[in-house]
Order: sequence, then C-alpha cells, then structure tokens
Amino acid sequence: MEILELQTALLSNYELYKLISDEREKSNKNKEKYKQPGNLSMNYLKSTLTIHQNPSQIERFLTELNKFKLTKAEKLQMLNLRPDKEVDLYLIIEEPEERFTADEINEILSIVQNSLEIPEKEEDL
Amino acid sequence: MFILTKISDNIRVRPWNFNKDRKDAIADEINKKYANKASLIIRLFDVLEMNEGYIQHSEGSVWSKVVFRLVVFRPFGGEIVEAKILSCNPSGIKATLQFFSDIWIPKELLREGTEYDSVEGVFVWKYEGQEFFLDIDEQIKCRVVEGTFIDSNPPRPKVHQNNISVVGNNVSGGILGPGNNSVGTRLPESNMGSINNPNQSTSMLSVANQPIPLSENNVEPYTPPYLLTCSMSEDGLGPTSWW
Repeated sequence: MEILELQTALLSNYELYKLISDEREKSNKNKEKYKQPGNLSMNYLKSTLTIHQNPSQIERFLTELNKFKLTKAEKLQMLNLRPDKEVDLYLIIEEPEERFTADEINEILSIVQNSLEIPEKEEDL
Repeated sequence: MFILTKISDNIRVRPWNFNKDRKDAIADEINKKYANKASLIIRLFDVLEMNEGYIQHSEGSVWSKVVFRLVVFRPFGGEIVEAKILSCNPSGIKATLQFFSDIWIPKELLREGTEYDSVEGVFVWKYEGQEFFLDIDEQIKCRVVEGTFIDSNPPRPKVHQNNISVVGNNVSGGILGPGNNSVGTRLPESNMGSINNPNQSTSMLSVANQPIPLSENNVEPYTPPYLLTCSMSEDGLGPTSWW
C-alpha cells in the first residue's frame, strides 16, 4: 500500500451521504445480503441537515456566494452546518468583523436560508 | 470533515468472486480491507485506475494494482463539528459523532465559569446567576483544536522485556556482577510512545495528552489511535440549544 496523495479533495457531508445511499441502492437492487454499508456514518449524516440538499441547491448556493471572498473551508462548513443565526456564522468565518459589514453578513445568512431550503414537513416531526 | 486520499495498492480478488463484475469485485475487496478501520476511513470513493491483473504461481487469485480514493474522516484545525456528549468526568467531556467517539474536550477548553457538578455528574456553566447544564446526549458544536495520532501498536509484551532482562542478567552476571538486574524491567510500559517513536505525533497542547477517561470497569487504559481535542469556549459553541 502506498499513499499517493494525502488530500486530493475535501468532501462535503452531502457528497458522502450521496455516495453511501447510492451504494445501498445498488446492493438492494442486486439483492445481495451483505451488510448495508456505512451504517454508523450514515446514522450521523442522517442526524444532520445535509441530507435535504441536492446538487442544484448546492450549485445555486455556491454561485450566489461567489461575490463574497470566502475560503473553501468556510463555504464547505456553511454547506455542512447550514448556519441560520449570526452567532453560528461568526464561528465559521474567520475575522468576520474585519472582512464583512453587518449587511453582508445578513446577506450571506439569507443566501444560506434561501438556497439550502429545508422541506417544511421536517418541522412537524 | 471528510477528505479524499489517493492510495495505490495490490488488491486480491479470490476465485469465488470471479462471477462478479471485476470493478465491483475490486471495490468490495477495497471496502473489506479499508473501510471502518480505526473509524477514520469511511469508504472507497472511486477507483481511478487498475492494471490488467496477474495470477501468482500456485494459487488462483487475481491480483491487480489499483489506484483509488478513499473517504477519510480528517477534520481540519478550526473546523466546527456537530457532536453529541457521550460522557463526562471531572477532567473533561467526551463527545461522539456516532462513527467516531474519540473527541475530547478538556475542562480547560470549556467556557469560563464552567464547573463539574459531582452530584449530577455533568458540567455546569454558571453565568449571571443562571446554571446551564451540559447534559449527556446533548447535541453540541465544538471547534477542532488539534488532532493527535497515537501509536496504538500492541504494547511491547512484558514477556519479551523479561527475556531481555534475563539475557542481560546472564551477561552482566558474568562480567559486572549482579548489580544492575532491574534495568531491563524498569522500562516504561505505556504504549503512548516516546519521542523516538515515529508513529506518534506529538501534541502541541499540554492538555491534550491527559489520560482519556476510563469507564469504571475498564482496567486497561484505552488509547485511541486518533484523538481530536476540541474547544467549546467561544460564543456559539456548546449545546446547540443554548444559542
């Protein structure tokens, strides 16, 4: 075994969720009885909000955020955590006060709200 | 939280798996070999390239040199992670991500004014006369301060050490007399590694290498292969219900 490249890319929670659920679908279709893959990580992902995302949402989210100077890591964490309050966003962005005005922070928050919608029925559960 | 790591390895497909599609068979073997190891490798992400494969002398398996990418759990420093409180003891909080449970929040990295309540067995944040409990199973957010790899090779067996010391005794008994018998047996027995051990990453924090909380009936100290030290001392961190 040889590690060729330690980190080729960062993976968002949604991408991992998609990977595991696709694999599950495939193994169900083949009617193979081996264990469902990735049970534990799947349980964790299901407890987060990322499972409601879809590729077109994420694309919209990233294009709308393009006008702000955010790092990759910051955008990735916004996808994973979906901050809906200022205090959550301040955690993710480094030195928010120096880099962004209050209006810009609000705009980022509303982009997150609007592009990464959560289906309504989630609140009834 | 997750990264992709590119790896090359020789993968063996045994004859009874030849009925599968070759790609699927290799993917299954990779998952069998790597997935869920030390809770850090999650799964195979994709196969990038593989050679035509070869059969070794005297057995029927097909070996293929495969280049593939694995999903690895590897949070970066400063990342915010959503976790659940697993257990508490006076020196800190242990949190879990369900698939990974070696998250350690030492009491030094909790909010100022947080104390351990020995009656309830949990930490309490006292703020302006109000008490906020950090209950077990509470959903929390914490910031990754540092990830430490700890060499979790099996501890050097004591028998082996004794053998050395016995040999040493024989030698020293002949030349130097029985004066320094106990040198061999006094070696530290912890498997936390030493400066000379290349598999052990050294922690920059004084708090990170504190002993990990033991469960009550656990005699052997448990050393996780990868320990995440996290902080909950900022606004917005801690139980999500607080904010």
